[in-house]
Amino acid sequence: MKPTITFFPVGNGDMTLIKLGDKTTILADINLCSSTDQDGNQIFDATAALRENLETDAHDRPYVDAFLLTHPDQDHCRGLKQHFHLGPMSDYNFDPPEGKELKIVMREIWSSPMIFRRASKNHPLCEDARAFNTEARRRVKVFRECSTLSQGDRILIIGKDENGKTDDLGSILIKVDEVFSKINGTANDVSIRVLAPIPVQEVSEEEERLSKNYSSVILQYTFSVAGQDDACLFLSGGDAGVYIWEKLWDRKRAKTDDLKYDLLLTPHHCSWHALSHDSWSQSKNPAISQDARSALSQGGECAFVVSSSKPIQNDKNDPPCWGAKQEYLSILSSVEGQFFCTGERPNQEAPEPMVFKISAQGPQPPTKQSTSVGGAAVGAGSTREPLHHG
Amino acid sequence: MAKKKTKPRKKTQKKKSGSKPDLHPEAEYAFKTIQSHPAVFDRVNPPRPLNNGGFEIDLEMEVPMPARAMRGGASWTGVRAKEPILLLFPRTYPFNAPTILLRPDFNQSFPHINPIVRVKGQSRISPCVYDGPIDELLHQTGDGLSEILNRLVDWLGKAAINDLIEDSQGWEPIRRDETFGWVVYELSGLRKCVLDKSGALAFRCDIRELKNYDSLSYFVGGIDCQQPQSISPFVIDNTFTKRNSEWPAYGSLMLFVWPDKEQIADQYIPENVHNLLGLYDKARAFGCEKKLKSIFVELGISLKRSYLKRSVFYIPVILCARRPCKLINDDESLELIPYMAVCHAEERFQYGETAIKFREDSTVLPLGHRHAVTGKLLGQMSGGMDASGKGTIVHIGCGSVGSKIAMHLARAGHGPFQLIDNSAFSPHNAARHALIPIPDIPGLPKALFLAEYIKKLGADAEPHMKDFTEICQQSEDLKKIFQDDTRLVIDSTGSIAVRELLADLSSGKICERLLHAALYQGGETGLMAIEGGNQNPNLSDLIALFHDQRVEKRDFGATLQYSSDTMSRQDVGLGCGSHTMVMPDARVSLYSAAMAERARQILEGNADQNGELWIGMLDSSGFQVSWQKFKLGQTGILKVKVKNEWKIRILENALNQIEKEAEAYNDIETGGVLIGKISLSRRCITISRVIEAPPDSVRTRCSFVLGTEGLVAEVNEVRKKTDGYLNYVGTWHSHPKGGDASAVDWDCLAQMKKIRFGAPALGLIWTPEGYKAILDEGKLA
Repeated sequence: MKPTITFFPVGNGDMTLIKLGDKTTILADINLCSSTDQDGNQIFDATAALRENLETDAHDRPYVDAFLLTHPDQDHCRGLKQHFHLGPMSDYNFDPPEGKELKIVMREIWSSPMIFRRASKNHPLCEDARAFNTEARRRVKVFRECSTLSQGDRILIIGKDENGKTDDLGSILIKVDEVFSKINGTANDVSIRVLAPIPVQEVSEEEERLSKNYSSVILQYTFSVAGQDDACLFLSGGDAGVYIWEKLWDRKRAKTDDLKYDLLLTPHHCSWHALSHDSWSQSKNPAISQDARSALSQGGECAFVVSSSKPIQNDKNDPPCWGAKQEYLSILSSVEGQFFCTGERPNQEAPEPMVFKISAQGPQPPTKQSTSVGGAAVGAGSTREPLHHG
Repeated sequence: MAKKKTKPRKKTQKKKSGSKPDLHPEAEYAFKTIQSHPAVFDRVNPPRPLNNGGFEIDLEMEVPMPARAMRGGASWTGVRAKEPILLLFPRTYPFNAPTILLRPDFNQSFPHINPIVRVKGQSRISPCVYDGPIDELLHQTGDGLSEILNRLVDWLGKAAINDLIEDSQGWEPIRRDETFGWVVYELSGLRKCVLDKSGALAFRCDIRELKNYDSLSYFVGGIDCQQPQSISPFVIDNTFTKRNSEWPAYGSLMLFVWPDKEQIADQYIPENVHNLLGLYDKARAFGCEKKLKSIFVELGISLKRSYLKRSVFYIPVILCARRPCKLINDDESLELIPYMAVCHAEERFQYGETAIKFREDSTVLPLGHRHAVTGKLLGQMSGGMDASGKGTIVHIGCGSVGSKIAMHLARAGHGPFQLIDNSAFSPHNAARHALIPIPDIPGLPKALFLAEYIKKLGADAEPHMKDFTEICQQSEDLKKIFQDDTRLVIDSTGSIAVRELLADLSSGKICERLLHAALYQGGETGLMAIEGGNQNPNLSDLIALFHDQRVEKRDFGATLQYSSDTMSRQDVGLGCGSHTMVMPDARVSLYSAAMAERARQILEGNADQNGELWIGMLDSSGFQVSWQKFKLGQTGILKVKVKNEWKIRILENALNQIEKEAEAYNDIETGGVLIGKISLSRRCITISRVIEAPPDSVRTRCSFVLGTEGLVAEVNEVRKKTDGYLNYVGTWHSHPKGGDASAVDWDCLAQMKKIRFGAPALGLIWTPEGYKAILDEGKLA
């Protein structure tokens, strides 16, 4: 099968599922809530959609090969405790309470202690984030005790922590600017470059600014398909704010290939704050940071930009921000690219997961499908008569 | 999926000169639906009427391109961002779906392409957008046309990135779900004929032609893959004949051609053969053109020399393609592709010519393939296991119930069968039976008749036209019928004699399982009794349980009351009658279908150690049967030697009652009354229930005196509810300290004898070490 990248319509939140050619899965962030419309009606069941897309193991347990938390805010890890197994695999509950499903196994997790450190400086972590952190610490402890890890205990640490706290982690530590391609212990047709978290800054003011800029794991995935080594470049930036993109540009302006993309997941659900230091709603003439814009402008020929957010309206809201969308459209115009919003496709009334297939010629967006008769919200096409035998 | 086209050689209808066909009434709605599809570009040309009463609409569809193909407007596979589409709507739209056609120069080397369609002199690609009948897709959703367009844009999107098939799935055989007929042959048999070096073989075959309005279909069968024919005038004269049949069938030779081992056909090419020239081209693509041409020459020579004087010959041809990998859902990489060549001889014979030459524009039609009827195919179609060769079914009774059960099992791929029935198929049997009488052949034994039909389903069946009770007297016959691999014995004789015999036989371990099937009261009640593992419980235990349930369950207890009306003498000829039940065939089927399903499950491994009793009841609607299941655990078995040897069988429930009572009075004697069935012929007493000791009974450390209060009434109640099937058979009491029957016990038995009027009486004794019994044989003493 062709690798796919699926963006789920989970409102202003992120949930991205990467499925490789051999069905290896990487899940980046979760926001397992029910998307609702303005009247509170459920329009998308994220949990059901995610589970439908997962593989199950020999014991019928749903699993992901790797789970990445880019940023420990609630809209990136909502539902972790409820739907994912935490703790050693020997404690897995095969007999869930009535009405509950088997929990999802994370064969490997990708965690960044530096990001947790910065996030917790500004606000208390939500329960799901704390649970993830506890699980990460458990796995690191197993590694320190056993020096090898098996499925369900595996962990990769993304970026060094402060004061040499992660220096002893050897094979499970992936430093910034390193590239790795082993997922759950097996090399695969994707290589992943770590662009952030930006390492700890010596100047405390700078470190403080990073903490306030939604420090996130930023990865550039390079997919190899049918012998084409750079079939698709996918850049995902979590919630990273403008200062982080400026710092990145500072570091990469001479090596822009590291920021190149065919597919970009806009930082922070198409937030203005990824592109500007000014407030979109309060500034009269909010200015764009040219460096941050440059960092996010390395789209290749006919690149695609995706906003994982609610529908984007021409108003003062942020995120998603109308101004940011216009800026991305401007970036895309130079490469004849296209912009997508998860909350708008195929329509705002009934958004569906957006699947990009990765071909040797780059990512392919989903086809346009008819879902309704005469524009009604609930299409006649959604009801299907069972086939009968005569 | 391909739409069946009209007969290719027939010229298309010409519209009347000067008249313009009317636009189809649905054309406008189809046009609007297409216009509103999000993947259809705005400019859609209005529908145009077709001479055949249908209409066509052409449009352009937006195909999502991968990023790096966007600027060029086409992907590396040749699919464009803007693809022109032609939809041909049939006259029968909206009941039949349109045919989807892509541009003539669309890349053909994809899987999922239907046979090429010729339109206005052009070959057009028709994508297979749905894995099933597209006409059904049109009606499955409320907006079927949009659904077809959804599938089409999906297909094009996949084609753009070469994602129509996963390589790991295997090679997709050329699409030909809807063709101009099919050929039945054994795939593995024909594949075995393929040698490393290119070759060709001819096989005898039968062809039937079927006409549906103006389209013709051909059905080819009767091919024995192990008997290739040399082509000679003699073989031609003996083969190309009309077959004796109600439906015209013709003999012919089928040609099978394969390429050298090195010739791998690794390109997907849709079906595009229309004539003999195209067939040669196709054979060239597979690497077997020379062999195909030379076998046609050989055929032409023999035809010329034969007595056959015709100018048209129907020659089925199967081409073999060696694929680079295994085919989907197959273990082999040899793809066999059948055609029907309607070969016309060249008209201009030259004097002295030694062979008939076939015109290269002779029509060639794609045919499908059908597996021959085998147990494997039938098992697959029934959703069960490959049942062939998994064990023999001994089927006793080939009447209405039996024939239906046996046919259901054979259709599910089960067999072989040993069929036992001593009667002949009488005309009146036609009212309730799986088979239809053959008017010309009277007196056909039912077992033989059924065996013939079962053999047609690919299973072996050996008929035994003998009475089962006689068979049981012949150890040779018995051995022949009950072979070591006997998996299931089915008794559907409706005979108490056979049932009793089987109950006795089963103790000799004749098979893994025995299923007894019977209908009662004109089909008001049905019974299925399945013996437990190792014949415990056995059939007699289950029948005793069946009657025991009549005591408890008022609903079916009442319907089973004996009535002389239920079995009556039906007039089946002048002065001749048959003692049978009157009911329609459909009612028999209501029960026999369930019985066959349970039998199939057992054959496929779904049986536990317990015995099973299933009682089916017809409700007031007259067509709903509800089945109740009763499990029966192991029966306690004792043997008592008096003058004769007697078997005492204590059913699970009665055993539990006795154990519970004995344990409750652990240091004093207790007891009660035994209810069951006595079979004098089999010297067997089956105990189905225990009546508790009446309140005036006296229990002490060394004796138990059975009271009488209410006892007679209780026993009579049981007898009444079961029409006397179950009755008083004796008493039981406990010896908590162990020991054999005492002098008091023997004395008691002697007293019982006085009031038994010749019926045997049983004294059963429970001891901590096990059961003991004393017996008076009554009149048999």
